[in-house]
Amino acid sequence: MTTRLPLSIAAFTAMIAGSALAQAPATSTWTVPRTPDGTPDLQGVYANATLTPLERPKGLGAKEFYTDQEFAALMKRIQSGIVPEEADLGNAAPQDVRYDLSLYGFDVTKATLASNKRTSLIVGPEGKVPPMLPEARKRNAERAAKNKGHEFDSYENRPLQERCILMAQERIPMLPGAADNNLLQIVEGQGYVVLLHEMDHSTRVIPTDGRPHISQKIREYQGDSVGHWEGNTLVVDTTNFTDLSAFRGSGEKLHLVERFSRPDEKTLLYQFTVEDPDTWDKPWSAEIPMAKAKGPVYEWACHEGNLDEFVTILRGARVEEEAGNKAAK
Amino acid sequence: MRVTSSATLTAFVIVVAAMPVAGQTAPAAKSAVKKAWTQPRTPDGQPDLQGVWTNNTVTPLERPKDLTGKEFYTDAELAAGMKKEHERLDLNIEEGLPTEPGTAADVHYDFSEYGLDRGQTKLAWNHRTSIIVGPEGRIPPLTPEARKRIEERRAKAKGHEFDGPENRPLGARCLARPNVGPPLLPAAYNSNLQIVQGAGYVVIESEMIHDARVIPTDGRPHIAKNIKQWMGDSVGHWEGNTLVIDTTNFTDLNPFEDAQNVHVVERLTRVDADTILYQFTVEDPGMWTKPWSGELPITKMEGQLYEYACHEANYGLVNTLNGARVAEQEAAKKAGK
Repeated sequence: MTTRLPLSIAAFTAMIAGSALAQAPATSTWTVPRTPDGTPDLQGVYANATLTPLERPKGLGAKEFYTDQEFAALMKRIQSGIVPEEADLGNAAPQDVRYDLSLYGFDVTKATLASNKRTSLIVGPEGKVPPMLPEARKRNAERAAKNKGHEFDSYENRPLQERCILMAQERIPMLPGAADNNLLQIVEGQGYVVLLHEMDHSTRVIPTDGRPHISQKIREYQGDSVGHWEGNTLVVDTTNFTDLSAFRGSGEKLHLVERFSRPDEKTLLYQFTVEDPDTWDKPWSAEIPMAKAKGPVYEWACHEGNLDEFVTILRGARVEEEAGNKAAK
Repeated sequence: MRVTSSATLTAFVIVVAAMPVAGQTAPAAKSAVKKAWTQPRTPDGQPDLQGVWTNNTVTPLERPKDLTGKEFYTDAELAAGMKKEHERLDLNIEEGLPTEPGTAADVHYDFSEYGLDRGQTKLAWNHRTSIIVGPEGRIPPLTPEARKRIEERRAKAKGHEFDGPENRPLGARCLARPNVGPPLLPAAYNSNLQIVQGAGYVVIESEMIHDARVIPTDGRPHIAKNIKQWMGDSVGHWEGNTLVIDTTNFTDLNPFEDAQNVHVVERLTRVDADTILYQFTVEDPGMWTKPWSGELPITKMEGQLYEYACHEANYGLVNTLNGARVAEQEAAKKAGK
């Protein structure tokens, strides 16, 4: 189905980069500092928490940005603790039983948020993930049918996130929400850029020395990333994903291009484009401004002391089975 | 028992730092005269330690008892050891090493598989008979209160080793690998690491458990004492061409179980194009009667680090616990009859 790809991913990415620049407020005379070896200096700790939903709320149509007035009103409501339906709270949405959301790190009104007037993280007039191709729908439906009734058989049937193998906010492309543990630290060395995610304390060491991707036979949860600099922007190209870490129904041909730049001193602009000719009829792109934050990034605990999420899910399923068996008699 | 640790750590580190010069005189003088090598620098002038390295070694942490007092092998002894290792590896690749039936080694892994026999990957050979330096070459004795603490914890844990996953070691739970430390110690496999240096930071990524330490070298102090982390809190600084890393804020579970105030000082010095001399000193006056230090060469290797899988498709933990439940049921049946 490659014929259905009207735009090359490179052209598409360039378009997005252009739109971001056009939209960025005219900053003063700030210029990106340089590391000692002359690459743009992106180093620092950034928070990628955002309230902007991935897809544009239905009522907004092709409206890509809020006006200053609309945005100010929205922020005011959020800071007062009223989160309107235009904002996506994700894991930070009120839940009855899981967390005390007033605890530090869970309270979204205390989070560091980068100013973002976008109505959705996905850019462009549609602001939505493009429709899934029929064969991708079939592939995903078959997989779901195979899993149906086995969701609670064992821990191996549970999602990667529950198993502490790959957390949602850690996986790439990075799609943050308003959830906790949203720090990202960047360290640049000669020929490498290191990204440390607070969530799951996982690290990507990305070479920028022009090397090719690893053999297509080697598949990794986070794929294989190689980077290069385009002007002041770090461009990271990732392939070699497994089908276990499928991104929104993607297949093994998932190709991700991420762009990191600093439009001003306090902001890291993160943009990405994904394409997968086996899954979507065209590439799609999103952008997320991240706000400079105070470090350090501490260690992160996944399952330690956390019994309710995993053990209880499986135990609950066993109890239900027993109850079902009894009722059948 | 603080009186027993008479040397301050600072003094001790200086002694250790001075030691390799003396200790190395013999091996270094005997090794082939190398071409003039100058310490490369990063663009901001730091000594350049970047690259992919391995600390894979056959040198044991503690000196074997029959070598008491002997800190270095002679060249002839080292050559014989290397030859023996190569023969062992050839045998393993061709036929597989004989293992004793029924032992964990026998049922656990096929050691002829790539990467599982440490001889298959590059080894950093050196003349030392143990990683721990000094005439004793062993971890010093525990203090009486540490012995008491360990005994009490063991007594409490006894009979509950298989109750649940929380009773199993951290490594079996994929939470932390003691060899990743700090101090960084070699393990039977995946003893590889990558170093990246940025302005104000050094990153050390270990292949084992895919853990990375992002170490600031900007002079900041340690984090608050009440924050404890599996891998502690590391801050670094440069002393000449040596990266010195100071780590505190460990939990009492890792990397040294029951040690409550571990302080680790690591020194990384690039001594030639292919070698970093890695030295460390560990102290905890409530745990050991004196500080102890080790050193081993870390050698440059080709390649990159790949993702690491811990428990995926690995049923060791589940089988351990299942086995315990079956044993309990059988014991109950027997008692009932």
